[in-house]
Amino acid sequence: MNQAADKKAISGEGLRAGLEKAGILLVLMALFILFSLLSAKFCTLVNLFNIFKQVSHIAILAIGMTFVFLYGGMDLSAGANIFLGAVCVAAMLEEGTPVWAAVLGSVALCAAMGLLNGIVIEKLKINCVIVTLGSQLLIRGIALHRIAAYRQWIYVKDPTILYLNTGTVFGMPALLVLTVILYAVAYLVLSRTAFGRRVYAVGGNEKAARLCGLNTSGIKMLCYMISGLCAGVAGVVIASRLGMVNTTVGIGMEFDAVTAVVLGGCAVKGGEGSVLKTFVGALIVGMIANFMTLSGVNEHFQDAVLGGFILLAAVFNRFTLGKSD
Amino acid sequence: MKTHSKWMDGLVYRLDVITVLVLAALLAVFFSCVNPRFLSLHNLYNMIQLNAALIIVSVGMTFVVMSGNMDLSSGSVIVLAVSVTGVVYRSTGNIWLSMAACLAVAVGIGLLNGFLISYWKINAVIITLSCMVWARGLALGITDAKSIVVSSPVLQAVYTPFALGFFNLSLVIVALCLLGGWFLMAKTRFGRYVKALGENEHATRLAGVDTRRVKWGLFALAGFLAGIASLVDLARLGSAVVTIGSGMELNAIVAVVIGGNRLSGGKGSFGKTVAGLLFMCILTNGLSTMGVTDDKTYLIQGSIILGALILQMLSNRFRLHYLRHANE
Amino acid sequence: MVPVLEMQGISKRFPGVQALSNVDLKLYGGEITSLIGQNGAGKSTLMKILGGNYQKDEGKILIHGKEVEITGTADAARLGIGIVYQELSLLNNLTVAENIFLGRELVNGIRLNNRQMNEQARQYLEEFGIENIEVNKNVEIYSLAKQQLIEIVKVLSHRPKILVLDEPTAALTNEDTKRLFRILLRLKEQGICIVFISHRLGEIKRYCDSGTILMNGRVTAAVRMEDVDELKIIEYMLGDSYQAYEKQAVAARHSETPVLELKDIRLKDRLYGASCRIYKGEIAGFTGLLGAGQDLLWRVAYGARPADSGEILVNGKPAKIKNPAQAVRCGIGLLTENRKEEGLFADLSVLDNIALPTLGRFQYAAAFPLLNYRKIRQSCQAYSDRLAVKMSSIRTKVQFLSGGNQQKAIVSRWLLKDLDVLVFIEPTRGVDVGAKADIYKILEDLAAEGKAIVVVSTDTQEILQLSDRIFVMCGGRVSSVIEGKSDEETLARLIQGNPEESTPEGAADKGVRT
Repeated sequence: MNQAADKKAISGEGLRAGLEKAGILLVLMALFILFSLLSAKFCTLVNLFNIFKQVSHIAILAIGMTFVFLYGGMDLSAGANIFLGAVCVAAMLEEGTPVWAAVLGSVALCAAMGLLNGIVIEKLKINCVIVTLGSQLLIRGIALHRIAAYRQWIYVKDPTILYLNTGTVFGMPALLVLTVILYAVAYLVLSRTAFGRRVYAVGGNEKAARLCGLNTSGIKMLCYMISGLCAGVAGVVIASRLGMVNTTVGIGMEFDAVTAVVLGGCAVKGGEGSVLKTFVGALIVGMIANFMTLSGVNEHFQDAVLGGFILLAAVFNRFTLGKSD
Repeated sequence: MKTHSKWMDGLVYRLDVITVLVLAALLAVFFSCVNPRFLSLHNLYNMIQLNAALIIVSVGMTFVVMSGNMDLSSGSVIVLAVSVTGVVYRSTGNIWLSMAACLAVAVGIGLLNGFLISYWKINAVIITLSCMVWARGLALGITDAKSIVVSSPVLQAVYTPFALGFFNLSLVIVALCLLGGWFLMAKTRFGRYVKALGENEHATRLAGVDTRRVKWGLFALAGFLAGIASLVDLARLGSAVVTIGSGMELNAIVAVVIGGNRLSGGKGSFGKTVAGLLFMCILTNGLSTMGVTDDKTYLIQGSIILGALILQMLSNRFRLHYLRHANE
Repeated sequence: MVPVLEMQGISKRFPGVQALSNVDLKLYGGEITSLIGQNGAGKSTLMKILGGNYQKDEGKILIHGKEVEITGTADAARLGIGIVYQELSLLNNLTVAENIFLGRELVNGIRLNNRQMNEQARQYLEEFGIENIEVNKNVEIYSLAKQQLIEIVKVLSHRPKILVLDEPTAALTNEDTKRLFRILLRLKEQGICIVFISHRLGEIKRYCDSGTILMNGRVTAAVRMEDVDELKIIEYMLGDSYQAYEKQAVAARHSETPVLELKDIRLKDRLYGASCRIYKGEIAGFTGLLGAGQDLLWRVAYGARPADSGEILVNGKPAKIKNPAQAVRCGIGLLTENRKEEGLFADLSVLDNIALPTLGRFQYAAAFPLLNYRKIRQSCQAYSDRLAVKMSSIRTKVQFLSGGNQQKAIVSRWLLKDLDVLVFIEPTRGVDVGAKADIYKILEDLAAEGKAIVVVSTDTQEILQLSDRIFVMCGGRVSSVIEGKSDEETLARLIQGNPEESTPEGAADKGVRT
């Protein structure tokens, strides 16, 4: 039995490795061609930049979600955290805080919330799904409390923050540049630092990682903190994109991020996946949303389709890459 | 070491239920200080009626949690089932057909989720999470996010008192679901296999149990109960409202877990779920009678739920520690 | 007389290891047959084939002279084969009766008939003379020994015609063992044929009628118990290599302070005050019967299992070791027998597998924490070359290496970390013969370099071949220490709990070094 499995693994290695590397890119290209054929407005430079911009906050949120997924966890408070980040940065700017302090402050607050999740999950050993579902209420409550002082609506007037949305760097939209830089950093952290390699190790085999003398719970807590941090940055981004913050910001965004990560092929049990694939996953999410908007699909059905895509991605991973659980 | 009494042992053994009951009592005292009418009999049955859907969903969730799984889709299943009922009723006007459609949708989703989880071995969290998203999207899509009035004498009958001036069908349904769930869990093969599955799936399969079918069945059961919950809520509101059932999955899981059922499966009982439900009902009902603003509701609910989870976890640790030494 | 069960020419290959080759086994009704052999001789594999857990590559299985196919556990159950495996399959959250009836509950309509099941379970327990077990209590409250008895009753309640017990007495006390054999003798009278696997030759000699002895996957002898004595059995178990090996000069390597000292380590029901001292430059072998505590002691010393009490001294100073991270900081490394689950990161490259605990050393600077992969590759390559790890490239995923090479990769991991004490639990399990010799060589070289090496193994030949000093564990403590030369016979007797020609640990240490 073992032997047969071994043979299969070895002979299938090339094919599977190939599929793993190319699979998600092929899907991206196929969808791209399909959408370009179906809609004349789709494949224009303006629209493509638009897609990047529209998906930037999801892409950034998905970076943090990738870290959490890689170790084998889940962060469902990310949507509420993005809301907290957006509210905080907008409120602080409104109160006259300098831009750098407002951004740093709100990102730090979100990171602290992530760390709090990590501490409860790791130190008290409570299931991550239920903890983040619970803390999501708490985080949203804090943010709602803050925004209540502004009658549920804050405009963002700061030119620096708005420039993020409208401006360009070397002819590229500033948001795209920011997203790419963040992904580059995340890639380096995951592939070129001790911490990054250890995240993979903990996700791949936690018992062995512990017996290796790694501080597994510290690594996990750090993953949650990174998830919070990314949510904070994504909050700033969305405040800039919308030019205002209201109470509907962030609702359901954790699912978009999860979709991007699962589409990218992260194993839910941890240990496999890469942040680059997540980027491709986020682009697919963005393209689908954009295409549906272009072709006038009801926004609610868009949600349904995205939800269906998580399901399809999970089924796809299960059968092409042989990842169960 | 041998000084502790049998009485003390029993107390510690039931510490999980006692913890949640004490918490519930504290909440009840607090809310009745704020609102003296909180502890009236009237409010008590009001509380059960308002939370009928939560109680029914929690029955299904108890099975899912007992088997070591988690179902994040119940809230969205309810909203989709209610929306389908509304749409069918609007176009046909036939209440029986609409109700059948409601149950069919709920059971169908349960069967689909269960199949993917048990036979295709895909992670339950991901499957039910995706279901949570697509079912809600679909519900909002087919109703265009607008409520549909479903007023029919059949549904109205559910909340019409037929005895003692307050006793109505909804209470009967809730009681039936709780009793039926308890019976199924404690007195049938299915319940025993669910319990065994939560402890050790491999050993259960080795004993000759078709674990895949049991898993499939329990998600189908959860779907069916979500369908019943949809009908009860629909009857209460008189129209298919799209905000129905939001957050239901969290409340149900928390009710099950706070009562002391082990989230990783295998250990627990319906008594614990009922204790947890009592806590959740007092919390949600108390907050709504206090009439606090949205932000405070979130804050209070979030911190109390997290706090209670942590407390339950700590008390459980103490309990295990105590019992281990008591057995020496 | 036609045997009840006959296995003919059974062969089974696992990647890298020929687990069974051409094995014959005959079982007669009303007899207790023993399968004897060292760990890895193939006993468990053979029984797993019989139970339908593994598929045989070659050979035939006949029951009452008729050939049968066993393709799954269900087939085995249908044919009346009941197996009590080493690892218990009881569910802790169910009661004794619920466990016994799992999968075939008695019902009234749809309602479980708990009363009748409890009643019948009670009858079973009574029938087999087992007392002090209440059928309506959860199994988790009972000791390991009682759980073992419950498991046996569970299998017996299926009324098997062929009963296999895989090391059932490892966790049992003498009293429970006697009770178990009373049951087995009664079953034997009923004409059931019983296969009994154990390492305790005393039991085997006393209660079994016949024995089949395996070595390295081959049958070396099939004997009647009345024709042989224990010595003869040991000879068959070990084959010709039995008196071949002689350890070279030893004692010179010891230094004055022990690099690691364990004092009075206790763990409920498992370890009863185990102590030992390990010195620089020696290979200390720990052996004992399954469940005697040798592997557990070292897991405790490594912080992988918390101890109830005890003290650990590193270089003479008390050390706080509560988790593996602290142990590694104290210079201790552990390699477990369970490579796949506790050692390897299957999806990561060999490089990552070797470098993980040491990565911090390869940062360009603390303020610039990127890793210098060129340097990592050089270092890892150096160690894997030194240990001659066979692989296509150091970037290969470690799951594609053979067992021996995987083991070497993990050894490289700790060499790179440069630890003082390396603990190997069953270092050659699942490793083929060639790689075995390599690993022995590596261990001796490391000791010669001044590292302290601890080898924990139930393979006595391995222990004799490698160790400078042998610590024999029995019933959760170090029962004797053998300095210098020894032979299989003495060791086998000591392991069985028959201490002659040896001194207690404390005295031994004093005798040598004061």
